[in-house]
Amino acid sequence: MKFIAVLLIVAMIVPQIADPCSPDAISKVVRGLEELSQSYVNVTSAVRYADKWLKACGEGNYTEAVKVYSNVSEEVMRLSVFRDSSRLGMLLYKALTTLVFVLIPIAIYLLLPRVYLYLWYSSKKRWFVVKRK
Amino acid sequence: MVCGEEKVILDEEVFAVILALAIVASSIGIALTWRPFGERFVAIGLLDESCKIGVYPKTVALNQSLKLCIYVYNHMGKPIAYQVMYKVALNASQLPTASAPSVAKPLGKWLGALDNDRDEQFFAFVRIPWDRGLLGRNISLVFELWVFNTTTGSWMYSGVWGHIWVEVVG
Repeated sequence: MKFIAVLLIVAMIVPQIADPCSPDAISKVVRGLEELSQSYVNVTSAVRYADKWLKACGEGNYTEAVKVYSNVSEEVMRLSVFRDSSRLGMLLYKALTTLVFVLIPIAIYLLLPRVYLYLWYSSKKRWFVVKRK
Repeated sequence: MVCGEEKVILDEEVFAVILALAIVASSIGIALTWRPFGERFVAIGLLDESCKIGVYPKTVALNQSLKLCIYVYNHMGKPIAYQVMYKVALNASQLPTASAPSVAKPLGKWLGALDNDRDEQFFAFVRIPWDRGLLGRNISLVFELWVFNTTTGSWMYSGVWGHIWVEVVG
């Protein structure tokens, strides 16, 4: 499954694009970044390359754009390996957080009276019991 | 405590209130954990040459180069490719609206990419077009924010812009 996902991303990005600043090239990279981001992959490094690449396009620096475009593609391919694990990690994180939140009231219901009693008796263990007159 | 009278050391009402507070707090915590992403938007700000709000030029000369600072912010819940377009509007009717960009032709553009919840500031050097008909007139320097739409595969006007009015002098 992971292998197929990687192949799909690679197939989207790798094809040789004549103009690295064309809407087609921008579309492919931005779509790749969006998909990775939606899978909770940290795309900061890829976005940094994409920013550099688009700035080169904006300035008309074609040589730099071609160079940075390949960096963006490589970075997106590298990050696509983490797609499944990141999604699973986030799901686990949310499930565990929910479990903790569910357990808090149950823990309070079961433990609070016992803890309170323990502290109450502990604080009075040196007391003497005297019969009321 | 009176002998024979049943009394719980931890008051039942206090215990019920503590439990209720814990349930409410936990429910809020679960809701926040699974909440969907809120409002999605992008923003643009037009700042002066010190990248601050305030000291904007009032007059410009024909063909003069102005130094301004552009601020862009992304809160779309995903990375975006953006484009800031520079146009000169000759009157108020040529200003962009929330639904349509200015009809004036673009005179410059700046591209970039931003991750979600990230912003960027950059300097924009803009030139006033050489047109003697502009002398003595008030014109508006317009900066529109366009975002790349991956569904349509083209740049789309985001509905936000910044502009300043300046008087063209000789």
